[in-house]
Amino acid sequence: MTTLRAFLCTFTFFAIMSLAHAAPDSEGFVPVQPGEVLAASESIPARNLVAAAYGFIFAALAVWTLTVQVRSRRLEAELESLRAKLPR
Amino acid sequence: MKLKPLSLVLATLAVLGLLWAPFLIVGAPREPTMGFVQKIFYFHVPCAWVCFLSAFVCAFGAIAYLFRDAEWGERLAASSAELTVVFGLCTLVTGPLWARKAWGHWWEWDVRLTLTLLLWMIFIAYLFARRYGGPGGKKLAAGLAIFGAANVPLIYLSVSIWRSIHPKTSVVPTLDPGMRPAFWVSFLTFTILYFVLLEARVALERARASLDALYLEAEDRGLFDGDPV
Repeated sequence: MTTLRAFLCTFTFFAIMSLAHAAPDSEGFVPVQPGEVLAASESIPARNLVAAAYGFIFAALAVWTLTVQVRSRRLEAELESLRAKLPR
Repeated sequence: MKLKPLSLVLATLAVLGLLWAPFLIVGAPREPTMGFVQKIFYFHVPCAWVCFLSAFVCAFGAIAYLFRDAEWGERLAASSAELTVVFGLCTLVTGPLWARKAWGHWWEWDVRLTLTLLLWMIFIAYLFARRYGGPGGKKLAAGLAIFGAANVPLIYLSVSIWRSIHPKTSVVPTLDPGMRPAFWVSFLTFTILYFVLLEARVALERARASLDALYLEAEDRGLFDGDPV
């Protein structure tokens, strides 16, 4: 009986191990099947990337300069109104 | 916003440079390995340079404010910190656009990239600390600026110290003669632009200081109490 149990345990252990070993890895590489046509790899044209880079720089600098201009105008308006309230 | 005569001359030079540089960049020889996407280099590197320069100027102002109690230092530091964030953002956006084509992915947790992101975040923290830090906020922000600037030499040397996929610092000194005019015009243009923008931003801080002084004067004279002045 003990021998049978030992045999069953060993058999089960190796069965699980071999199944685990043989199980396909969901994150692994999948070989190309014979005759399978590969999809063209995704590629962003370099022109778009260069245009996006230069466009972003110009836009960022323009927006920042505009915010400085707006803040400056608000401050000057506030200064003027306060100066008008203060008697000389 | 009124610019001083020197600033006006510099602003004109910066605008002329920004108009001229694209022609030089288009005319520069194409790099054989990366192809057309390498053209990002001509604005990416000057943006990074200005970001670093701005961080140093900010730290200089912060030191003057912390140890000499110089208000001009605080104004200079605050103005330069904002520009560090703007040019840092330009660097952090244009880099991944270049990397997408050159490396095949947008971002790599490379030492130089990570440290640059950290630098940008430190200066964001500076602006928050200064704005919302309460009475001691300006001092805390000044401390942050010094730490941020200390990061700059590390970013520059990182590609030589650690293994990195980012191009090395030897790229600029060994640049092809055909690529040099486009690069140096962009570099000079961005440097001039930085000083023009800094001057405009410092003027804003000066105006804010005048307003604060005027409010104090108005309060002293009881303008806000409803009392006769």
